[in-house]
Amino acid sequence: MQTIALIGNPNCGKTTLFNTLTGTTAYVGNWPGVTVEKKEGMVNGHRILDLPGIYSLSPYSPEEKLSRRYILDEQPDLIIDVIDATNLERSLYLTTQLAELGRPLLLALNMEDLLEKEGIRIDRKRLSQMTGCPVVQISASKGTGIKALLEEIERSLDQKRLPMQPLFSNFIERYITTIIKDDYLHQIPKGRQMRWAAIKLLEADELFLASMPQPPQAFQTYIEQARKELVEHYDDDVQAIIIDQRYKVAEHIAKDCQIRTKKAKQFNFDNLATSKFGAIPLFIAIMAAVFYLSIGLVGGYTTSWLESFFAFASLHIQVLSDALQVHPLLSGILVDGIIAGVGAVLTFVPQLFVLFLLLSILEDCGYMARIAFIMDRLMRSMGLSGKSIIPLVIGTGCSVPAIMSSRTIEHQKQRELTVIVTPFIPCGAKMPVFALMLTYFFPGKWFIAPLIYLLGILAVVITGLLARALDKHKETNAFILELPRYQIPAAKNIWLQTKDRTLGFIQKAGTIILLSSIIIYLLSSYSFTLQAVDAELSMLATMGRLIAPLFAPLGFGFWQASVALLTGIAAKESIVSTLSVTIGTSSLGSFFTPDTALSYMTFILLSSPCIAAISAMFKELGSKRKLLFAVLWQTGFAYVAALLIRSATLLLL
Amino acid sequence: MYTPIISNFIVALIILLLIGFAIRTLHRQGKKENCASCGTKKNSACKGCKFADSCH
Repeated sequence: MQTIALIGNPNCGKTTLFNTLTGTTAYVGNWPGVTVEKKEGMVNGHRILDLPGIYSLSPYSPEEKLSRRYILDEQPDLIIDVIDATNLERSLYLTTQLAELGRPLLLALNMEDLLEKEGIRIDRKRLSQMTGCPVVQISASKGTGIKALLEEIERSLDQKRLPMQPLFSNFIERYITTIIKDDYLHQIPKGRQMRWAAIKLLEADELFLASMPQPPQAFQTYIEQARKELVEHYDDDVQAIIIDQRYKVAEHIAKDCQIRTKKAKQFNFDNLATSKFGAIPLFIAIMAAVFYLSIGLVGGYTTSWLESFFAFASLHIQVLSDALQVHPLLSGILVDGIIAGVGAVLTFVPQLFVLFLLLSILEDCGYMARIAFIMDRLMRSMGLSGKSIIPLVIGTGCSVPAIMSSRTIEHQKQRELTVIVTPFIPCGAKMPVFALMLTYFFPGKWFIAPLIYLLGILAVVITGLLARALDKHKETNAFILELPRYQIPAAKNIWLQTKDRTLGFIQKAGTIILLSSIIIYLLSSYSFTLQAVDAELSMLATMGRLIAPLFAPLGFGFWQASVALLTGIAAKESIVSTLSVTIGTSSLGSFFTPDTALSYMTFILLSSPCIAAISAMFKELGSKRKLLFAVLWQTGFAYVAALLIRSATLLLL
Repeated sequence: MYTPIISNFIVALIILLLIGFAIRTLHRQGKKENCASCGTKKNSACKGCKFADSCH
């Protein structure tokens, strides 16, 4: 079995190609940095790996390090360089580095469907001659050229033809040639190429130097002299000189192989979407529209229908159970536990489906990447990385992958801060709680839903500013985010994302929620002496009353709300099922008032996330002490915010 | 006479089946989210595998 590695610039369509080749459904997003770890699959009996997108093999970010380490250490039998055909020159910069690794290289010119639109034609034969690599033109999203690519993969694996090495100016080449001739270069780790090693020595690449023994004094002096002469000759540092040389090679090849005919005039939506004054209001308007459509419009109809359906089912099953003399314990578990708990959560499926669908469309069409661009400056001004916006956007779906995606942030402090603030963004699991409260206490006031998002963003900003104020070193870094082109969302991508998120939600209802509903029912129906009692005398009430006083200042110091918060640690949707089992959604008005409902929503929004997200936080923070701080900060922040919201609401109402 | 026994048995069976299904799904999910998902079987792929760093 041979190994193939898919590599290329971020957002060039590697994962789409990976999915097309392997028939899998890995997550594809229309922004750079979706793949932060390698994914593996099989194609024609060969092992194929999808690596994170990188611009170069000089590793600056964790995903660049991962890709470089993989290619150098694992020595794949074939590297497929996925090239965005509409950005040939920039993509060839990475190609010039891949060519030096001494592995067979195949160029897959992706996005051929966009070439005509952009007025570009590529001479594949010439490109193949100039790089020494086979070239195939494909469209991974449309599925064109895949057959030819598969044939070329087999041919390349058989022939094992090596690419041509890009040559730099004579002034640099003479140093490279001298270094290669030195015996010291024979000590390079297995699989590394001499020329590549010589360039890394000139560049003083830290990762490479760390893998080499101390050079002899004479050789060290020569290298230092060579660096000095290069700096004097080009008036730049060595790394920049090599980068420049590579770009010259890439430019030369692109110029020779690419024919630009015309460029169609297009309306530039970015003039508005990324403008200084229009961007944020547009973002708020779009999010408001998303919530109006999902929670306001669809939720308005479907919630009451589904509630009636589950109430009808409960009533009839209870009547039937009574008639058939089913034991109250069994009928109670079935009706007041399972149907009440799971039913309460399933009530929100239609509106969540629409919400997930709309968020997927926004991601896939490229709009979400604009939000990252808009937020970059704000993020950096408060000690976060511009890249922090990516976890925050993914966090609207689920905090677990969002926290994991913070790995792309280079600086440790910024990464850790992002991990701590990401759960402030309301995930899909918290939506049923908000929808429940909004339905009962703020009917018709759908605009409160986007305000919840703004509150989450505000919590991110405040935490960031505080961390910034306390940080003595004030790390900053530039965020290079390439704005992906707008595209008509691919129906397949949208469907897969929406389906996965919705099914995940339904699956949770059928698993964690079902089990927790049964446990909650039993605990709320029996005393510690295992006597069937009224809920107020139950085990659950006794346990809930222990912590309930803590929440009295927030307006929900009753045991039902407290135990719901506790079950929310398992999964946030459990809050709805627990309230449904212990109170009954129709009786919420007897326990909550609009101000306490808002306070409750605020606490749920900002307090520590579910156990899955907490374990993801632990993995990314890598320390129990940091995790404890994060959880305490989130919960403390949530408490103060809920208190303030309640006080403000009481003053205003 | 047998009706209550049969009804109780059926309801208990339904509850047990639901619990069994929930536990089995959770167990499978747990397996899917660890290194087991990073296999080299046909059409397999790490779906956002949390452990991918140590899987391969």
